[in-house]
Order: sequence, then C-alpha cells, then structure tokens
Amino acid sequence: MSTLTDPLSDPAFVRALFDVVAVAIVAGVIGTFIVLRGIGFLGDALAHSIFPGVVIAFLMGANLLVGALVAGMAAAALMGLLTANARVRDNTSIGVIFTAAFALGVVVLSNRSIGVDQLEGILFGDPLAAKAADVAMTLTIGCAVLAAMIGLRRLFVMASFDPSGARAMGLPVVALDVLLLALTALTVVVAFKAVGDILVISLMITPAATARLFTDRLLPTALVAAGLGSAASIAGLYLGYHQSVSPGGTIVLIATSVFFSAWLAAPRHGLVAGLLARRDRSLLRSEPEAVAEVILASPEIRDPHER
Amino acid sequence: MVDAAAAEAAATRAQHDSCLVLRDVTIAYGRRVVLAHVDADIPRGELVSIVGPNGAGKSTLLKAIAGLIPLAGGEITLFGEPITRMRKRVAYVPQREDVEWSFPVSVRDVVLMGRYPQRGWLRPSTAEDRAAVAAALEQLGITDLAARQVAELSGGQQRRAFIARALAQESDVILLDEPMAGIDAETHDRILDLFEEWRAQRRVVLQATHTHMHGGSMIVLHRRAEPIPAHQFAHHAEEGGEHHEHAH
Repeated sequence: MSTLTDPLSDPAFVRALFDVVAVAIVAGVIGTFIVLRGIGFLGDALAHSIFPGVVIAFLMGANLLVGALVAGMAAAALMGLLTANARVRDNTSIGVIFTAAFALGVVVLSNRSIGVDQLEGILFGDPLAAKAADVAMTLTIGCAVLAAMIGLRRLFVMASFDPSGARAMGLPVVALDVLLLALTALTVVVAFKAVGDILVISLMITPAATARLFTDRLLPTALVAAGLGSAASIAGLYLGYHQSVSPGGTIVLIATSVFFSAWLAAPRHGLVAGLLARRDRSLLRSEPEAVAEVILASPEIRDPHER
Repeated sequence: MVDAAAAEAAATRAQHDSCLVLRDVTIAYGRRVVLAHVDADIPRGELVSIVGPNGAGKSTLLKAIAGLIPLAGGEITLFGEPITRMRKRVAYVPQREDVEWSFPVSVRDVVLMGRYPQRGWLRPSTAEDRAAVAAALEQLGITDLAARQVAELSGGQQRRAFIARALAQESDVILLDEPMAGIDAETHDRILDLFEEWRAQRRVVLQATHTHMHGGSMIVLHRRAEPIPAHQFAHHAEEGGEHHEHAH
C-alpha cells in the first residue's frame, strides 16, 4: 500500500497528480474530436509549434506556459487561416508551418546555454517540476476549454458531420474550425508541462483512438478517452516516481500499450473478435437478414432438368 | 409591437407572390465563370427540377441558392430579402459525398439538427422539437431506426434521415442535391409523396437532378460546348411543367 501512499506525502507529486489528471481529461475530450475529424497531424503540428515560444520564454526567464500560450495561439491562427481557405486539411502547408516553428526554436537555442535537464523537460515533460501557479493555470485553462467544448458541442458535431448543411443553416463553420484549433492549442499549452512538447499529441489521440474501439457513440467516446487518459497518467506518474524514469514517456507508453491491447481484444472492433466471428460456424445456422432469388432471362438455361 | 411587426412581415410575404427570385445570377469559381445571367421567379408551391448534363452546374446553382457559394453577380432573394439573411427559412439536403458519415451521430441526432436554426443553437431541445422530430421520423418510416448510428444505415435510409431533417426544419424552401441518386424504390416513392405534400403546403422545392424528373417546373442547364436538343425535355413540358429562364 505504501507504494501508492508514500509519494502522496511529497507536495510536488500531489501537484503533478492534479496536473496530469486535469490535462488527461481535457486532452481526452478534445482528442475525441481530433480523432473523429481525422486531424491528428494538425494537432501534432500545433504541439510542435509552441516550441519556439517556450524556448524564448525560458531564455527571457518568463513563465513557460505564457510563452507556449502566445506561440500556440499564433500557430492556431496561422493554420486556421491556411486551412480555412477552401477548408483544406492541407497536410503540406501544416508540415511547412510546424517544422519552420520548430526550426526557429532550435536556432534561437543554438547559441544560448540551456541545461540538458531543462531541454528534456520542454521536449519530454517534467510534471514533478510543476509549481502551484502552473497547476492553477492548468486547471483554469482546462476548465475553460472543457466548458467551451461542452457548451458548443452541438455546433462542433454539426459542423464536423455535415459542413455544407451546417453552413446552409447559417452556422459559421470556418470560425468553428478555427475555434477547435485554438482550443487544441490551449490544451497543448497546458499539457506540454506534463508529457512534453513532443509527446503531447499522444495524450490527445491515443486515449480517444482507444475509446473508439469500444464505443460507436460520441459522449461515451469522450468519457472513456478522459478516463483512460487519467488512468494512464496516474499510473505513469507513479511508475516514473518509483523507477526514476521519465513520467511523461511512461504515461505515453502506458496509454499506447492500452491502445494495442484494445486493438487486439476489444469486444466488437478488436482483431481477435473479428477473427473469432470469421471462424464461428454457428453463423451459418442463424437467420439471415435477406435472401437471394435468382431469376435468369435466358430460356435455354432456365431449368436444366426440363431437357 | 411584436404583433405589428409580424403582421407587416406577413403582408410583405403575401405581396411577394414569387417568393424565391433569382436576378441576373452569375457564379464563378475563381476566374472560371460557371453560370451567368440566371433569372427565375419561383412562386410558392412550385417544384423545380434543375436538370442538365454532368458539369453543367446543377449542384453549383443549388449551392448558390443555399448561400454556400458567393455570387459573382446578381442577387437571390426570398420574400424580398437577400437569401443569406433568410437561412432559417431554407432547408438544404446535401449530396451524400458532402457528409462525414463515419462521425458518430444517431438518426434522431440528425433530424434534431433541423430544429437548431429555429430554436437557437445553444438552447436545449423542447417538447415541441421532440414532437416535430418524432413526426418527421414517422413520415419517412424510420422511427425504428431513430437510435441507430447513421454510419450503420443503407444509402436509402441515410437519405431518409436527411429528408426527415429538412421536414423537421419546417422551412419555406427546401433544396435537395440529387435526392434520388442511389436509393431504393420505397425511399424514392416516399420522397415523391413528400414533394407533393410540400407543394400542397405551398413550399418551394428545388432539386438538382440527373435523370429523374417528376412533373413541376425545370431549370435546364446546358453546357455551351454541347447543347441539349430541346425535344429531349418536351415530354416533360406536356405533363404541365413550365420552362424557367436559363442561361449560361
């Protein structure tokens, strides 16, 4: 039992626990939309685009979250502008933007001194370094993102499912796309402290992709994604704490192994369930939904027994 | 005050016998002019088929009327107002390619979407909304499918769900992009019945269509490179249809 309770006497661990769970819930909900829309690459690009903001904030001695926030919003606006044009999910332009942003971060860093630990924290996460103010900011932004997603869920669903029908009804579909990007950027901003800039997309996509293997409905997908993300985050944090390995990396690996387990063993959509159904001979005896009746037009072959 | 405004609005509608009006409509994609100088005065209770070969701009014209494509010139009005300000009064059934079918929504969700414009996007649904949805589902014969995900349905059932959405919207104008494409006989018949009902209710129905024509009026679009012989549509005119102005 002490394995679970001992770390709780460390305030840094408790702060980290709050931080990662809050992040996992928000990331799970927004990740559901990212996965359903098939814009995972866009989310990844947003995550990488905050790198220069974080680096510059670090060198200036400013709060990293503020740097991430500024860079994230700028990247979301720029990508929104590019993708709003004919609503292209244009992977090319997104690829151009985020690699350029990352390169900017690298160049800014190249002739400054930054500790390997700090760079690792930015790239791969360091939840135990979160201060009380960081956790407060995570909770504030997280609640705001969640409130926006819940309040506007019908609009996001309509705009994603039937964009032309939505526009015909007067819904500002392009503005909603940009808003979804901005909310994604905000989630990235609060999540990068926990799992790092490189790994943050995993916390958004992997739990949601796992949830999709269990359910066909929107609300259960979001709830399962938030739950799985939280569980992986808590487990990863404990494991990282006890084994002295990177908690961010461990969180991602746990979430990924859950995904692969589900991919193999999910009740209806898993690989094993599919293979079992294929070999199930009892299917041949069950009542079909439809039957076929063959009516041939050529008289000479209509009834072979007549001749 | 509200009553006076409503009475005035009603008077304005009554004045505009032709409720949907296209004036010198020109549509362009970039520098490519697809359609130019389209004029039409469509009265209430009219069923209009937009017909023509592939690439003649049927879908484009319908989308322009739905306000999805900005006009390069001219104007489209409904009851004398620009149609882009009358979106609540227009229901649009998109082509099946324009819908993200894998998105997890149920048939009931889809039909309920038709109630959003009237009610406001952020308001929870009322008993009246639920009654309208139930009635629309019933009329299209898909009540038993209400809880099913649209991704699981056949093409005909999916079409019925979208037509039910248009029905639940209770709009003055209903625009349908290829409503008869790839559907079963029963869905086809139900849509035809509904067309008749909408006409009787003095709604305007416009459909972009490939091969099917079901009485009523037509807007015939020609590709300038290969004009259609007029007699090809003659049988249709004999059934009581009337020609609207068309141009390219």
